[in-house]
Amino acid sequence: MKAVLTRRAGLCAVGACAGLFLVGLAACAPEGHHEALPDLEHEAEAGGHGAEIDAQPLEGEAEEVHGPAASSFVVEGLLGDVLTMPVQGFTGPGGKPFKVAMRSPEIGHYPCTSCHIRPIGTKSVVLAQMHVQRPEAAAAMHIDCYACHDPGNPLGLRLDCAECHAREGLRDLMPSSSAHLTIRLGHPSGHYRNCFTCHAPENPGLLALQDGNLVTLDEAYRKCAECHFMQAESWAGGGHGKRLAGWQSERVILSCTGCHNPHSPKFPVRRPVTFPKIARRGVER
Amino acid sequence: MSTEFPSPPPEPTERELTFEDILRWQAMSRMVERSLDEQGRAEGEAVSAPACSGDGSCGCASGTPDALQPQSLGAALLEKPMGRRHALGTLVGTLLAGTQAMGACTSVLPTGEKDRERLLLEFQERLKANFRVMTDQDKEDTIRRMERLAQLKRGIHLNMTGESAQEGVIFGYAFNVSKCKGYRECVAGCIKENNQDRRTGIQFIRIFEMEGGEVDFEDGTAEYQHEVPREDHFYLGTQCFQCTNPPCVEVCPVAATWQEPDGIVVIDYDWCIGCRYCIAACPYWARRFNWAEPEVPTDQINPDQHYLGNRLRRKGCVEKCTFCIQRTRKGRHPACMEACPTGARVFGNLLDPDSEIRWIIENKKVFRLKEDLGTEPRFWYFVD
Repeated sequence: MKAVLTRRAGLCAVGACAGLFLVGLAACAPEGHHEALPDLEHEAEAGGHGAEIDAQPLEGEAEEVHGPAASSFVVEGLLGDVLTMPVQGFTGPGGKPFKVAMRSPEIGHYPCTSCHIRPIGTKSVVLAQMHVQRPEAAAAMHIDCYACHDPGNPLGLRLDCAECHAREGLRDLMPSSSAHLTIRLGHPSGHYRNCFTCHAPENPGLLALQDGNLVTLDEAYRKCAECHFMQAESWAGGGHGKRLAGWQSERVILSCTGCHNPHSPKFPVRRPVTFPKIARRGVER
Repeated sequence: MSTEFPSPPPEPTERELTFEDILRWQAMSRMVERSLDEQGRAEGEAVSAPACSGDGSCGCASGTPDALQPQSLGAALLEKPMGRRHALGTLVGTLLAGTQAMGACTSVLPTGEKDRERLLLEFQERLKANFRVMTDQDKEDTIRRMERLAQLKRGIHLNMTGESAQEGVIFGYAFNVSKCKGYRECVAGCIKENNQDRRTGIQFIRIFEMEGGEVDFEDGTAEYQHEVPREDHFYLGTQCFQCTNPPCVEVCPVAATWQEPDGIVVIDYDWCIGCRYCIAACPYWARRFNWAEPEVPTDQINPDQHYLGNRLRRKGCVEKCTFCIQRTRKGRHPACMEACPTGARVFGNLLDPDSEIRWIIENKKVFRLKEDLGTEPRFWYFVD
């Protein structure tokens, strides 16, 4: 038992003090230590993230190089064909930058006309139909056929929906309850349940931040974080969200919408995929 | 060699090799060994004479051992500093490989070339040492043998490694109790990755469903069958926690299980005698015993294997979660974490101050199971 205790104490000490030890080392280490140079050069060569390394504070570098742990060895090639982009506005553990997986290759980009330009007979509502449904409203806003059709060549269309729909009075003309029936909007709750709580009215393919900036769907975390700031903090630190590739790779995590359906973020109720075959009974069960 | 050998099997046919065959060869090899001992003693007296220095400079058998001559083979074996197991393995291996060393043996050999090779490899596998005392060459040899055996028996190409722990790495795991929805995707991923017996259904991970409010394993169940997540319930997964003070390692009578430098508690499946002391010692029920020969369909075998990890086990040995040693030592995530659809699992290097696991331990409210036992698991639970 004595041996056990001793070992436990030793390992505890190692585990608990590793951080303090590193910090201490970093603080004590003379600046511009010679050993630091080759390692940093090697890292810069390795994965082309020289820019990130430059952006780090000096203490961070010293910690990395002089710590007894933390091999700077980076495993690459585990991401497959996932595209990534650097995260803005958040830093990971230790103030390090990280990346999110892009969703645009997966979901595609949907301008209004990708659905609404189809000929009559298909399921989607055609652009012209939409505009003639409420002729009085169109007339009030001075919209006629030539808003889109070229007078000289009626088949040539000028399809910039945002040009008109960004105008203040026309925002209400974009129906949120009857259109896009495949989307069951269950989020956010209350009177915020509106497409344009998140989507930009002038271009629903983008998200509108509170400060007026527009961001792509790949950067959805910036929109989500406006309300869910607690989760966003945890997400940046590593306590929420899912990391891709490996623990020794460059840090790439899924954006909020990589796991949650933004229109109904709760995970679905479903049956488990497998069952335990060996039951364990008794006191401990 | 005047020793009489046990009677060989009646007819060398194409029939399936049986265990009796192996026993017969073992008996034979024991007799060979005994006769070698006698011979060695006799020759030892001769070698000790000042005329021969024993390094081959005088042109005696040690310089160019002629494998075709049993005496010189035995002498060569005895002059090298090698263990009994190694010597016996080399000797019998040489014989079975068909060097025609002894006329008496030739009739014993199976006729098929592949059968002969398989038998030789299986025999050498039986005589190998504990993984911890193997040299790098020994490890390389046994891995090559296993790969070849898998090719001969199943027709598959394995990619097995025995790579050791990385410097400056101790693995830790964190489990977000408020994120787990009980889908058991991790369990399914684990079974696939770790080549677990499909018939008896050994699973390393158990997901407990418990009523909200307190962690109570008495009221919780791992055998829920309904749709999840259930109202007012939460889910908590258990597996091997790779304790810092593993009681399972303390009790093993044959040192078949130990802790690696990166914290993973591993088992040498070929050294395990199946006493199951470790199963009794583990306070978390993390270990499983193969009561039957494990069955994995050939097309479902994961060929990326580690000697101490997910290689195919045999009947009568204990197995457990190794944090997917075959993946994590290559910098990848464990299969359970990769399979998790909710991101409830976090894996990383405890010695890296900028790792996610360290951030969780420092910033979240964490707990471990049965902390009063002093096992110091490297598996933390946390809530949002």
